[in-house]
Amino acid sequence: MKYCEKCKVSIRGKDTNCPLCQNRLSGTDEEELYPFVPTIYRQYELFFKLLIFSTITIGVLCVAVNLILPDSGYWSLFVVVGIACFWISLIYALQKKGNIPNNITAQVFILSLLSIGWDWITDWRGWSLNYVIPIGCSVAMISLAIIAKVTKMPAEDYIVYFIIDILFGIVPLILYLTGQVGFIIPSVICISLSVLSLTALILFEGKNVLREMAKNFHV
Amino acid sequence: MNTDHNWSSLDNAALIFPAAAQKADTQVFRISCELYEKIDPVILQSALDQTIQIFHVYQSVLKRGFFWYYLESTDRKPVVHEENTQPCATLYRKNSKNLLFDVSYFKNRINLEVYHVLADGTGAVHFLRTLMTKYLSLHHQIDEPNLDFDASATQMSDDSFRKYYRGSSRKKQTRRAFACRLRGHKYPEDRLKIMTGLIKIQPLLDAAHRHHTTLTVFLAACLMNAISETVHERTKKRPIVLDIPVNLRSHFPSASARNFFSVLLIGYDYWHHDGTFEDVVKKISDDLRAGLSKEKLTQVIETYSAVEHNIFARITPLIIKDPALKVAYRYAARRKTAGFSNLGIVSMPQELESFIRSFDICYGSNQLQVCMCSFQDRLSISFSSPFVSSEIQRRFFRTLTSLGAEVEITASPTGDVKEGGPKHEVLRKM
Repeated sequence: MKYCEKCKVSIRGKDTNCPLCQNRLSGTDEEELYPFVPTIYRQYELFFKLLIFSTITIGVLCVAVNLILPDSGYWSLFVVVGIACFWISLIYALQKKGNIPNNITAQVFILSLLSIGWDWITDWRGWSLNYVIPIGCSVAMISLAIIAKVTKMPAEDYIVYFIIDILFGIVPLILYLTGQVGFIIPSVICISLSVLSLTALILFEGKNVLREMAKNFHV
Repeated sequence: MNTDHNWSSLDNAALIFPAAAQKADTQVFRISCELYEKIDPVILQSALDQTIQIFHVYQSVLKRGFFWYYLESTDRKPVVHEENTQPCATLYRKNSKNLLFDVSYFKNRINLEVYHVLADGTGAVHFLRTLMTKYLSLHHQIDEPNLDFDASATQMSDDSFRKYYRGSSRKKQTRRAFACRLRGHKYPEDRLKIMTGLIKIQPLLDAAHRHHTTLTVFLAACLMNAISETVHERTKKRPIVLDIPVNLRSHFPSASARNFFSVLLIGYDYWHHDGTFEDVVKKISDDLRAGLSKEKLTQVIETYSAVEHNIFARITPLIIKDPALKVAYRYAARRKTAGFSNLGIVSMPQELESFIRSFDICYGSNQLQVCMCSFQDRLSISFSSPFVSSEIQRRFFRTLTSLGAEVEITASPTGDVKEGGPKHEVLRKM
């Protein structure tokens, strides 16, 4: 036990100075009472700084070249928007990396919105509605079902996201009925998958579905 | 586990914690028990396995619903491990399904760390006492003595706020002024300095009785004066306010192992009053007495619960509610200077008491927090502070030693050596 003459207190551990008044202590060392916890440097911090810096460099270079050559059109805008899309998607994926069902659902949602925006600023050719949304929804439903089965995921971990995916799969139906879809094959596949998934979910997991709804939407 | 009801909503006090928790304000508290011998991890694990079967309510994970957070029971088993983090480090991580409590050991000490969403100090002490009873009986091959704790599984998982809420019309609460706030350099990486003083209780009780008051009021007054002497004169235009949690179980019968507490804000205005020790003691004890009346406490439960039961609060999606609660929490934090909580006496079965050196408790918050509890004839007072300066602690403990109390200090390492020194240099060298 150590002792501080000024504070008149005994000090346990290996400190050389009083934790209260920082004066030197007398007495002998004891075993330490807390483990040594090393400073944690944030993992991959440099990697992300480099990634941010390089994407910003690309953006700035493109805008600069575009300004010097104004006759070539506003192509640098696409590069900048593309970089923004990349970052939005990546940041979300990293934040939710522990929750795969959530990640799949959110990525489909983000990609759909971004593709509509992209399609819209490039003269609206309709590819976002014809291909991206139905294919994205289908992939989300199939991959979630497979991942849940393969990893033996408990019902509470995926059911809510599966329901959201199914509901999202109805969007192509609305688009189809309102005549927004030009090329219908992906949409038809997506709608069929959605109906099949819903049927399977109600038949085989009906009880779990009700319980998950009660949990998630309790007010 | 295969029941339809494997989840429960958060209790009223817990609602604020997930929104407010952040790296520097982890809302995790640690209760430790130090023995006179090294801990055996294998026996500790089997004691924990037995304990968790009684406290099944603790085997839950926190999840986000659309409107509220909720606790979901899980099959995940708690695993004891050697202490490898800072005290009161974050336990809840979004998107990961880990338990909200953690049991670790280091040499002679067993730590129970609990995220405040799950339980309050009283609930967690019951858990630790059960764990220690089982551990010591297994280790020394004694027949397991009975604890004075009797509650069914339903009673333990009970939400007592809901039980005692009447939904009567509430009176408008008087708004409190902003309090004097502590400022200063903080430790890097949001580390906390935990400084625990183990003190023979008798000299302190004698001193408290000389001032015709209780130990809690006496120590609160010592703390308030220590803060008052430390902060800048100018900042004392605002009152110094202590946030004192009240265990509602002693006023409303409940055996809940979850949260059932309320807080009292006790302030003293050093700007307009003379600040003599007698006056501070008188103010604190008057305010405490008024705040602890049954009528006042009922009113507090009504006010707190009314917010939760408000239809607009209920149907607002969590995604909006979360930031709103965060702002409310920050705003409320400006009305207090420091936290001061007394867990009271921790008792153990008599045949096991001789194996135990001490119990102590500390709380991870981004302001100064003082927690105390007593075991046998000794009181343990823990300061947890994000600030490098330990002036308040020094003044407080010197006040106690000047009364003839023997104080034994344990301080957690924070990676630095000297106050105000070049901290990062030191960190890198280590």
